[in-house]
Amino acid sequence: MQTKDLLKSLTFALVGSALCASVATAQSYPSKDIKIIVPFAPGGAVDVTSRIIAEYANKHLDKVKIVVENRAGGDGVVGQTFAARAKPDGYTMLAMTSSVVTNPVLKETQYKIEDFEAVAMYTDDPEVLIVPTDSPFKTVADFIAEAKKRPISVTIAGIATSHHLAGLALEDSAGIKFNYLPTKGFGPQLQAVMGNHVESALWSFGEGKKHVDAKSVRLLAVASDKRLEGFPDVPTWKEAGLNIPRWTTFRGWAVPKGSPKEAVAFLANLLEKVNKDEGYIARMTEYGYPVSYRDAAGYTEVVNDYADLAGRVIKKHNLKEQ
Amino acid sequence: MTALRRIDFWSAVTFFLLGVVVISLASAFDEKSRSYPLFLAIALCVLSAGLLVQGLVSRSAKTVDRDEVEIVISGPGVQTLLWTVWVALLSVGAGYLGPSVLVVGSIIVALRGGSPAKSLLQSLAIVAVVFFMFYVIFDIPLPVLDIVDEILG
Amino acid sequence: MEAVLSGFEILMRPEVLAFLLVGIVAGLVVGSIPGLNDNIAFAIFIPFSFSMAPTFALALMVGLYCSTAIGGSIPAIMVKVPGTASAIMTTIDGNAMAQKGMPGKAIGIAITSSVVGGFASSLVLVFLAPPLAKFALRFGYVENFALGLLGLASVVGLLGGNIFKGLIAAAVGLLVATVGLSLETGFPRFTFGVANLYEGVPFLPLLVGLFGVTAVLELSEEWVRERRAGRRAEALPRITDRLILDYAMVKRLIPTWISCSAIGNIIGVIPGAGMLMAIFLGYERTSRVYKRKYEGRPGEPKWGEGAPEGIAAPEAANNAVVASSMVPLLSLGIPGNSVSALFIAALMIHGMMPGPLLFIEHSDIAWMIILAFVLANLVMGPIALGLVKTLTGMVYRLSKELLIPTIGLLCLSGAYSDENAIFSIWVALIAGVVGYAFRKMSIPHAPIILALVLGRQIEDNFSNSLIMSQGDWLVFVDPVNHPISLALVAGAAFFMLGPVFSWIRQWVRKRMARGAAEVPAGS
Repeated sequence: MQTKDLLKSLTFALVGSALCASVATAQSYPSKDIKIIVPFAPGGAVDVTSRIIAEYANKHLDKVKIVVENRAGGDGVVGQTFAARAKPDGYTMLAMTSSVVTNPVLKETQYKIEDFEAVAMYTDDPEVLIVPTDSPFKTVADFIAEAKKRPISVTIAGIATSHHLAGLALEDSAGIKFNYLPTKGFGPQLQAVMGNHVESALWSFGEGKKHVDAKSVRLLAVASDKRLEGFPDVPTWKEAGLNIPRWTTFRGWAVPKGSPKEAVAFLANLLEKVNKDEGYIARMTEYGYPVSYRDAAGYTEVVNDYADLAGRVIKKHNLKEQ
Repeated sequence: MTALRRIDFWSAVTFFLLGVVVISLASAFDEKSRSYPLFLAIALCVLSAGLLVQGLVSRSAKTVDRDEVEIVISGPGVQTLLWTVWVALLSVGAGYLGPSVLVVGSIIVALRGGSPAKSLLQSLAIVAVVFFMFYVIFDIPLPVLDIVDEILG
Repeated sequence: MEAVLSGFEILMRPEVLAFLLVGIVAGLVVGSIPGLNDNIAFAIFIPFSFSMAPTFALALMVGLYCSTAIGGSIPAIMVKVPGTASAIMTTIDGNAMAQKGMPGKAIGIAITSSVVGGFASSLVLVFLAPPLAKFALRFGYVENFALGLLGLASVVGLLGGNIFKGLIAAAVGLLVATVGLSLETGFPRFTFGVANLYEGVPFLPLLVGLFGVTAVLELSEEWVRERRAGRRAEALPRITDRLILDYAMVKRLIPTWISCSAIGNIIGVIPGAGMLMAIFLGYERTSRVYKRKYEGRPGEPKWGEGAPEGIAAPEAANNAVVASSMVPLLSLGIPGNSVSALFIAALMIHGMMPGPLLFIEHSDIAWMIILAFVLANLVMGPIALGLVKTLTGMVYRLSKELLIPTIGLLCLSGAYSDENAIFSIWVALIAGVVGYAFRKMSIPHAPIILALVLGRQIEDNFSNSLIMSQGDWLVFVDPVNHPISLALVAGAAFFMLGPVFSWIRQWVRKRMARGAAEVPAGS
């Protein structure tokens, strides 16, 4: 009899605490930890930036935390699908990057870009054209001149990645020719450039910055609106005559469609606060991730611009045929 | 026909068929992506044909006997079945703890026989330790029920 | 020199030392639990390291990285279940020796060999890093293909009795490695619309299934067999014999240690080659030496039935990869394998980037890492010897009917934690059942695993090499531009043709013997 009573009270306690938790949810947001789904393995650019943000965001939160959860696989599709299907209660976010736009177009996916609602953007990482340190191409002009004569080999992360699309866009706009070497993983790409096994590379600035600083590789041109801080001699793609005003990889937060309005507002506000934190700005800049905050509307605009740009390249080069 | 009782005969047939299936699947790939898997699949067919011929020629090949089949079914067969049930339960969102206790308990009963109550207790202990290690110490988001998440989270 | 000293000073701080020791012990535990390995442990640990001082986090990671492979050999020897992929080959001779009543000796050989291999590679890291890093940079697409080919060719030594079965195993492994988006065009091959397969069949769950789950099924078969025979299930071996090797054994194993440490160090330095390849190359070489030198002598077991070299070779090779895989990482910023890639994450979290810049901006930290490898390898031997009885006593005292589901649950939960996906559990379960079926068909496992590891590398580098050479296949044997590739291809050809040569030699010898027999008859 006694055990039965004990079990009974235990059951009540369990159910009770569960009820309390759900009541609390109804009361005020946030009442429990908020998850950022990172659709890539730990250690990558998206993972590292998400964790830095979580660290600074948690300073503004009490009782609850922002936690990062990795759901890697399928070049991002697994985690993106997971986030799209999550309960839209404001407690699950996706670290939304360019592949959210291109994956549903290029691959079979169970989600559409419309399944997400932008919260805010935190960084806009420009594409860079990289060559080995002792490359014969001293300037981007040398590079263009040679690339008009013959295809120049370029290492990219993979077919139909944003880097490949950037290369195709360059071919169209500057009349140059590339020979693509899709190479999985950043390490092997770095090896290929440093060992002079390839003539150039298309990376995002955040990945390459430290290696440019170390003089392991050389930066020829950058696809941002204006020249980068700390690299006054490196021209933008537009200045260099590549005729593309900007090509960036955006990173930001999104929630599954239908999440509560006040939750979205709360999160956007939180990210804005983080983006004004001196320590945060210093750290992100050090890594090579330019800090640029945009609210939901601004972020949506960036996403739509990229969808337009990438969509045109995909269509023109018939990447979807497979 | 003694060949039909040999394991080698059946493995050769299995791999040959696998090769054929792969060839038919790979033929639908685009030109650049298909040559390598096609080459491998054809190699697989050739090799299994070789194994088949070798099996027909040689005399000392292992044969299937009834006892063996029974052992395989009651040992590894039952294990596979129970673990499949476990993953299936996890997949449909039945949580982690319940299915684990159930399946580990069933495995102990299946192996040892005897009282289910004792097995269930032992199963509880095993699952508790494994769960504690993965979920609490390593912070792995096991597919637990929401209620467990709320209590422990 | 100043940097070396300040690195040493940091390492000698009591807290840092404590974290290094914690790492070593954690590595032994993680390694000895089937289903968990250093890769998973690091992925779990990195988020934690955010809130830690970088020196603490790095010391812990170094300790863990060094000792996991030792931990992995313990269940491999005791229950024939490798705790980590690095112990796959150790199961064969290690468990055979344990079954013969010498589990202590087997574990002693494993630990000592690991320490020798690990220490050798830490010395390489200290003294030879810059020249070796330059050597590593010479590996481009062409060389990486040739290296993959050489690794695959070592399969010939692992084929076992039936050449068809060995080659079928390799073909199946290579085919499984083609699953996923094709590198050249992005075409989804054999994915059936499942996103989890786009990047290929998840590799860690596949391995956990092939060696862990398969072992669970085999254990249960053994259990049923013993019960049916009316025997009480045999208890697991207990360590009663000495763990410390005697002088004669040490002297005997020295040549194996030297050759396998050398192989491990060279493979470790080359980015992307990986630990398993070093193990297989070392194992293959040692098996040939053993068969020539010891097999058939009185008191010497057959290869695979408890040969000391069969434990020493893979264990020395796998630990020799550990510190040397940090050579390209620390000098160039290029990760040597998937585990050392996670060191990048740990460093980046604290605003440091491995590579030349690390030695300029944080030279003390760089040297602390290097010296930590030396120290970890020095102290992990005694720690492992001291802990091994506790570890085995704790886990393997469980009776078999409890051990079987426990290992099963650990392996499958471990598979889940790789990508936090239930899909990965399915992969591990299916791989386990298929692996078991292969055992029943007596199809060897080693060629499958080797093919799985190398398949993508071979195909991707092959296609990229041909893009570079505009379709010219001779690029792989170009003596001017790709001498390394030429040497590797020649080595691969030597491996593959080896059995053919020995077959011809035997045939000629038979003919001559017959000829000699016929001569007196004719005269």
